[in-house]
Amino acid sequence: MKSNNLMVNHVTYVILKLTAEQPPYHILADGPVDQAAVLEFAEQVAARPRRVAGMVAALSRQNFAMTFSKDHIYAHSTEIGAQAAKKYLLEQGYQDHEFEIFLEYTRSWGIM
Amino acid sequence: MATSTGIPNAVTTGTRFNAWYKREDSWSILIALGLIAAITAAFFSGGLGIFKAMAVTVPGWANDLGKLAAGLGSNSVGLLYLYGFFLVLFGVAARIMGYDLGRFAAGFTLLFLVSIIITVLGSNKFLKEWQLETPLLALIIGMAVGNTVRLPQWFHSALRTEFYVKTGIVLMGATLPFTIILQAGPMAILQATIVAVTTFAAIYFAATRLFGLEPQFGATLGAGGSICGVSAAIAIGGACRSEKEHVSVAISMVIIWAVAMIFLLPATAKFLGLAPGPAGAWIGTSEFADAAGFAAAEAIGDERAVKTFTLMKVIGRDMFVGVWALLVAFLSVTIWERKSAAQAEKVGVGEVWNRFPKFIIGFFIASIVTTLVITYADPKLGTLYNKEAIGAIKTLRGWTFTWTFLCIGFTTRFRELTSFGWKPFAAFAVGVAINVPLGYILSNIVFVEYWLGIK
Repeated sequence: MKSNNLMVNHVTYVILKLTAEQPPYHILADGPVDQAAVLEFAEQVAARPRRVAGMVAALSRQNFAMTFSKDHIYAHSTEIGAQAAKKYLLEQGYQDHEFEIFLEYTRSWGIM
Repeated sequence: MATSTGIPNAVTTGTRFNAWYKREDSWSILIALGLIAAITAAFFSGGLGIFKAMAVTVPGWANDLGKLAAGLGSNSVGLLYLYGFFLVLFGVAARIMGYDLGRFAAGFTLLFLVSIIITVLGSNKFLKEWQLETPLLALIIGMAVGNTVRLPQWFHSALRTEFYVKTGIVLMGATLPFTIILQAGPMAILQATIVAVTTFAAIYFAATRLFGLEPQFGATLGAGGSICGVSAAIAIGGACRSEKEHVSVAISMVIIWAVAMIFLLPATAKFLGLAPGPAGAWIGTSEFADAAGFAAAEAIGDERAVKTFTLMKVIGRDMFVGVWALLVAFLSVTIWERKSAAQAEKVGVGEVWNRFPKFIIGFFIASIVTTLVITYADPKLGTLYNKEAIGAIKTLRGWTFTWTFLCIGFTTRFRELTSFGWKPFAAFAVGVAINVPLGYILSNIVFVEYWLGIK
């Protein structure tokens, strides 16, 4: 075997959910319900899309293309691998639980 | 990874592979189920003639060329129907999937012509005595040409091994009563699980513990050697974020061993005098890829071998690739990345569906439809349906498999496999050394009565 052909193509998706899994209702449930608590609630609700915006900007610099569906933003690239994408996001200060990665391989040609 | 809401298909498949109608699985299902529906409707409306004509079989011949010519001559219209029908169906699918239609049509035309030659040769009495029937001939001639001649690019457009084999598998569903699937399915799942878990573990631990390869690489090799070959290497490689190079090496391993097993398993089964049912189950357990496995099972020369192979491979092994993907994805983001479940990336159960080979749904639908027709039709009509309509489907399935076997041959170009070191080869070989004898023992000793019972 002398050849070093790669036998697959790939698409890496970074999936960014725009809203938190669970809104921070505990702020209102645990403490006094006043203006400060509601503003704190609003601040925390808004924090998630701000983080997503940062990741969108970071991934755009790596030439990821963006699409939107339901409450998710999907960044995809046929150049950057999944591990590289994850490493990059972690280096940018984001954490594992803030994104999901889906890597799809397909055959490069009609092999069995 | 799938989100809790699931990934929209159009997005999952990206800009290049897009929605469901861009996928071979979808078209395999549509074409095969459409064909089954059309044949069934034609049978009950008395218009089965065109499909019976299309279902061309080449009579056996020795050195009597006149008889052969007469047989082909009487089937010439049928061959034209067969060619035109599949050219249109595959062509429409190819166009929508984004292939160049002109190139595909030219390539399919050449593939079809070669398949006629192969079928004629495979019907020769002397070649049959040498065990060189259509499946093996297609492979040998395809590989001989593919590895010595630079094939034109337009021909490559029609070399879609997976497309043809998936269409054939859905058609296979129509010829396999659902009662047999219900009866033998649990046994197939049990046997496949024993072998898949054992083989996967053997390859994974050999790769990681003995040879020091990365866990992701070990898992991708293990999946290729234990679940469903190239498709599993691709699915599991994606699920655990294996590097592109590693997935390519795993695919190379699968191809090398799968091609070897196409010849070795049927030859050994015949040498040992195994009954067709257990022989097919053994091939279904120990062959590495669907297309290669069908070639090996067909080489047994008995429909029972193809049935037990299908039960083992499609129901026992292929169906569970999504579950494997979910498990491996979870391992990948937690244990291999040394993170707790709370810290790790989320892995959704949608992974199972995203990696599930959808053509299996078509296989089940096909089986249910024809079983219901036979069950609820008048007994005499049911018997006639089984003979004429299912008979035609079986012959058409045979043609899709012949195109598959030719494609395996033409696309298995050893010079284009990814180069690999001895470590992945050795790890994979450990799995083969366990998989093949274990598959033999389970199919021909432990569960032999079961497989003998499949008619």
